Amino acid sequence: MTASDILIVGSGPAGVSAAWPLVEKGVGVLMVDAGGAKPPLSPQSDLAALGGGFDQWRTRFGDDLFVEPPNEEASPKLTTPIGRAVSGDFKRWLNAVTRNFRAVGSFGPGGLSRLWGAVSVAYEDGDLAAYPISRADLEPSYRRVSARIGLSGADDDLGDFNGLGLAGHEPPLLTPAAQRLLSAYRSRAKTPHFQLGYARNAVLSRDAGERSGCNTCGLCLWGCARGAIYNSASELYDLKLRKNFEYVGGMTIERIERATGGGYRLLGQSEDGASFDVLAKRLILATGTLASTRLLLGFFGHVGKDVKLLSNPLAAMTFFAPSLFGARLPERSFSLAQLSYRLALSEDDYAMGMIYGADALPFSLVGNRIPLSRPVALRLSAAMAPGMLIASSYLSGCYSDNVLRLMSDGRVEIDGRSTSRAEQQFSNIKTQLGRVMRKSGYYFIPGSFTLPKPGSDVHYAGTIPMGGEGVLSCDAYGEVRDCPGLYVVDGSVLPTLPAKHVTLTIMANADRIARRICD
Amino acid sequence: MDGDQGGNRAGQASTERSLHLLVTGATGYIGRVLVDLALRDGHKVTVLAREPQTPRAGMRSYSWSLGQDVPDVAWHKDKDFPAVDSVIHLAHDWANRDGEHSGQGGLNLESTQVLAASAQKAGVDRFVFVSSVSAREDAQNVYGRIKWRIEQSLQSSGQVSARVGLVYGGPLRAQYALMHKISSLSPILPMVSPNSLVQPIHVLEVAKGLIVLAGTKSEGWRGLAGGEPITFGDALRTIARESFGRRLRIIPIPLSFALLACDMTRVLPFLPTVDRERVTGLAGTRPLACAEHLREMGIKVAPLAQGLRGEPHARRVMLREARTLLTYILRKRPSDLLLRCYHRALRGGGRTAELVLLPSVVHRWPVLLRMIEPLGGHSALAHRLVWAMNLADTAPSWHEEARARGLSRTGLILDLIIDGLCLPVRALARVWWT
Repeated sequence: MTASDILIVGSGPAGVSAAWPLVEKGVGVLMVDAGGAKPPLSPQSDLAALGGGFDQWRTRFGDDLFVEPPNEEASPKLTTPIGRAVSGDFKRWLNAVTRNFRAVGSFGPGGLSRLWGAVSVAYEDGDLAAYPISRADLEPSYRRVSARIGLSGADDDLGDFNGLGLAGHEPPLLTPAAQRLLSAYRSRAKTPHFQLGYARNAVLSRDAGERSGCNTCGLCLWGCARGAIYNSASELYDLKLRKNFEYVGGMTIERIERATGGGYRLLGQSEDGASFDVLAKRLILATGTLASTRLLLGFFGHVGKDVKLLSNPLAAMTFFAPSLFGARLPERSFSLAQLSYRLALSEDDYAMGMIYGADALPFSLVGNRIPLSRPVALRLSAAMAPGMLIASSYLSGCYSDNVLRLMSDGRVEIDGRSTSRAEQQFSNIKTQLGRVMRKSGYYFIPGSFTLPKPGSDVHYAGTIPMGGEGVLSCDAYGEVRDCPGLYVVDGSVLPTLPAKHVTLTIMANADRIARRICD
Repeated sequence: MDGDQGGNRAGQASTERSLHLLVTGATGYIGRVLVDLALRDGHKVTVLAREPQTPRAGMRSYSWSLGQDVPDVAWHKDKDFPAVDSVIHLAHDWANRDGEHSGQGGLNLESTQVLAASAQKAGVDRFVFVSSVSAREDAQNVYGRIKWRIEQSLQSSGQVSARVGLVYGGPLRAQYALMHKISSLSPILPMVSPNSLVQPIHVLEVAKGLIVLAGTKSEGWRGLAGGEPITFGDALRTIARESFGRRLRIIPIPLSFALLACDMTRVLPFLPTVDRERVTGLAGTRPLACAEHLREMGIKVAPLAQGLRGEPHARRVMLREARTLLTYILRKRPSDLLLRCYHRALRGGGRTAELVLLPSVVHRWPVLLRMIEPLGGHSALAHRLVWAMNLADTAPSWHEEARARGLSRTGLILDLIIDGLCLPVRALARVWWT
């Protein structure tokens, strides 16, 4: 490996967002990530062309055609072949014992952006209340990152909420069901406690550079071969073109230690089984909250001590418009979030949710839950799909009560818990959202309310908080306490976790921190 | 064939070097499989058989039958065949029971002695005699007693007896064919000694074991039988399930009653004669502890159900299940490709999903499933239906019905009404499935 000024571990959205400012300033950057199994190729065809046959089976179920038993809780995107492939290796590395917690992670180029839902929204000043920085500090970074990755959406009723002026692309598509909901909402008088608008996604609707615009094939959950959905791995090509950037994959870090004479030693294994021992004077960890936390707990020898882990408690509900029963299924579709909403819970507390169409999902996903005979369940799902909307609902991290600890044998234990208030709030949300939807002609489907395990949101944060007091904390610029030259830029440094999706903020924060390191 | 070291079903460890085997009984059930396996593994085979054999690479044959002297030329080496390394003696005359009555030995015993002596004279120092787990001085059947006698006569160095268990699988012949037939005769079967213990072993595993024994110099006896004995009744039920997809119920008949019935068939004019020997053979024997031997030989014996799942019958049964469930859901004939996909998903990649047993009337009229489909998703059938539905969701005919043509609203309402009427029946049927 060539001499470089700074080592970045992790090629996900955080790592790549930290790399760009450094590389542009001429700093020598070496980026490593853990490699991992090659994910299956994403399908090239679209919903209509995928009309059955062996290709579709391979796409739907993977090359070995194996179907796991239906898991009520797993998000559809984790059960597709790419979802399974991408998240498999991480489970083994983390070696975690989880109790009531779903720990998801990913090795390899792109990290979790290989299967994320791409929701990208900015935090407002209220969200950043407990942070040592303000929205003004993050604004330039939000702009840079949004322009770089390309966001689609609109500055409508949720414009302020999502971030004004950040969406450069039109939203790809609204299915008829979502269209009706939006029209019905807009035709009514506005209420202060509920706002609905276009979802803000990191999806291109026009070609840009090497990436193609969304072609509404509807197969988002199986991976976007066109590059329309942002995946930080796509930026590696451009980064590698720079002379002062080097990338080495397949390096799985097991341990970090302080090096005598300053700097840090990273020990681990490379893909071919050989062990490595790398010295870095300056180090940026962008390995994702769970991984960074595990590495730093090991670094400090902080064994057996509880660390607070924030996550967004999540609920999902399905609504149905009887007027769209048996309507024609659209030829084009978009499976990521179509609309999003903000529901005020109190003065400064709110829930945020995304709304998805059901027409591009396999009918059997819905059919599995209907207690009718299978042929009728399947046909009923197909008839209902055009009129169905699936709404997710996220609460802020203060409703979560998860704890993570490192054990003496190197294993990580995570106990997942939501506060009792969380369940009350979800019940409240169900009532309020139900009322709003009913006014627009959408009715809640009984039995469709699910409360997945903590961690299912995959928004993990708060373990190494900026401006925190404990051993495991960092300053406003991500530099770990008592560790000069060791920075963390992923979700672990966020001291609180608002109900909003966190990824864009992580990227903007990484950009901000990297810029500071340059100066 | 020569030098072909292809993988084989019964295990990984094969003999280190190529052997030259002299095989008798090569046209029998085990014999055919043994010769095929040996040739495929790169060994050379000399066959002693009554009829001339079709020429094959790596094999030569000479005319011989039990009771005759062994032609000297069989032991000689020539340009293609080295000297014989070991003998595997499978040939047995089932009908010949002289050994019982004359007390002298009988054809089988004498032939074996002749063969063994001839081998010794030719300098061949390994002799594998294929015996049976029923070989016992006080065995119930003549076959067992004869095998015992022969084993006793082979006590020199290098002479080993392989006590083979209940052989199944591969070509439908001999005892396997008989059990296969019995399992499918009727859903309720009267049978003797269903609780006697048997030790099933797949014919390929036997062949493999015999080749291993031929490659090592051993004495005494070795067990080539399933390590975990099961009852004969269970064996029949397993064959009924795996090879026919049917549930079998057995009514035990006392042995004395069955033997009496056999004697009667000899006397009564119009019934085919059933030999006592077949019945006492079915009665089974005491199980043999042979786990250590199997480990020594490097043979892993799969349980009967698992062994049967690799056979063509099991595949047909699974395809029938696929056809029934998919026809039920799609309301159309599923394509062959879809059926194969179902089969591959459940049985491919080393997976051995158990069959779901459905009454044959359901196979005939899959629509009947609508009334008995289990409520709630924990039975094997419920799980399978979910999987079939996932698969049906990808079928071209469904895609056409749901997306291109569009579903009919009235059809759906009618469906809902009928389903509503079926719900109480399904609630009752639930008891059947759990």
